[in-house]
Amino acid sequence: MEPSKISEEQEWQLFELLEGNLSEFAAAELHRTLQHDATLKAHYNALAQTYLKPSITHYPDAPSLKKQHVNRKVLFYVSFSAAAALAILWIFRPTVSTHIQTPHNIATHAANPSSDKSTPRTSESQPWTVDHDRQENKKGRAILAQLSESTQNGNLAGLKPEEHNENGVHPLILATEPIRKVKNVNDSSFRRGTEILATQNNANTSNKPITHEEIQTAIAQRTPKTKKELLKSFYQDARRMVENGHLPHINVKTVNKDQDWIPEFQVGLTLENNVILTSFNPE
Amino acid sequence: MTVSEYNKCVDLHSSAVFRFALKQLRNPDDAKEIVQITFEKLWMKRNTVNIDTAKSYLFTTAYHSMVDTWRGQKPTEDIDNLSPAKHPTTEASAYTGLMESLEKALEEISQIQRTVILLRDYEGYSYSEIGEITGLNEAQVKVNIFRGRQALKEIIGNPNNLI
Repeated sequence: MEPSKISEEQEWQLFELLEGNLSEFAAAELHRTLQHDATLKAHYNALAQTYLKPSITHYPDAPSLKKQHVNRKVLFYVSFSAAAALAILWIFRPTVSTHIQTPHNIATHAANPSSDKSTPRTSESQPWTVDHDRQENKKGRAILAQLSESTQNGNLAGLKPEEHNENGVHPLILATEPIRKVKNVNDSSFRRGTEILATQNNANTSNKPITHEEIQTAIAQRTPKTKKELLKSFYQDARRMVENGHLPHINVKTVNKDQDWIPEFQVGLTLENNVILTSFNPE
Repeated sequence: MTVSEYNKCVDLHSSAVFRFALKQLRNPDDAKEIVQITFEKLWMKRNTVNIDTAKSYLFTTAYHSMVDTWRGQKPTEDIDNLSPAKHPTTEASAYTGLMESLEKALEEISQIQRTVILLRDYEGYSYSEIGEITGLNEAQVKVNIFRGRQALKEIIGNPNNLI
């Protein structure tokens, strides 16, 4: 049986009581009234039944909402690679003029080093001028030029840069092509080989042709390099490339072996045609 | 909010948001979609929402998503045509005769009254918190709760209303 109607004000009072909005005194007062008013009590009970009790509901797809943690190891590798690349780029930043040089002119310059010291150099009158005076580099470049000549022509005839420029390929790249064709060639090792020979022959290096066999022998005789020496030679190679007007591409590659915390990394130098000239792989 | 905190929010609130959406939409698939949208928005806003305000953000987003759904929806399906599969997937043991009547009665009241009562009873939100979620002021929230309960009382009190 439906209880008789009550006023709106009484409905609000019951609502406020159930919501807990009344003061302690007002609530006690209303409870006393409810004990004596059956109609009001019936409405109170009916209103009390409208309060929902939280049902147990489980969302079944919760795992699909979750996000995976970023792999900190990968993040570390990326950060490490980026930092290493930046550090290497900073170390090898170009500090000399970018005048283009050819093996031909390098050889001429090396054969007659005093000429360019006395003559003022301008890029218009002498486009192939060497822009630095490092004695040790002159010697190395002269050897490289001779090596290029011998490998390109099969004899000691001079290298004409114009012929190579017609191909659109830098003469230095052409000159070192046979060397770089060797698998995993380390160009610096060949040059180091020539430097070894240059040390041995000293004064005659710039004029005397060097054969491939001599270089190979020199390389074979060299002692294994320490990490420090490897790093130093890597630096020298990159520096030489910059001094010769090339923009070396420095590649840093991390290798994750056996889930080690610190990755093994390899650093490589490449020329414009993506030929690897030097690679540095500390173990 | 970190990834861990976000995942913690999923653990803590996903079922509550799902229940909230399910009571409103009466369709588990629609409710799941609302939950996914809601948590996706939380993930996108994780830099501005912290874990303390995440629950409020979730319910607000869920409510607004449902309002969008209602606006784009056809007229509400007649309750008699609802298949059993469309009814809430709550545990059977939680029901009594009265609870079942109340669940049905909830579907008869207006959306805003249902929303404020659900937030009040299920989540225990205060009037002001409900106001933040629904965009109403405290007085409007209170009036809607009162009117909703009055309507529920009328429906439950008259069994003919539930048949």
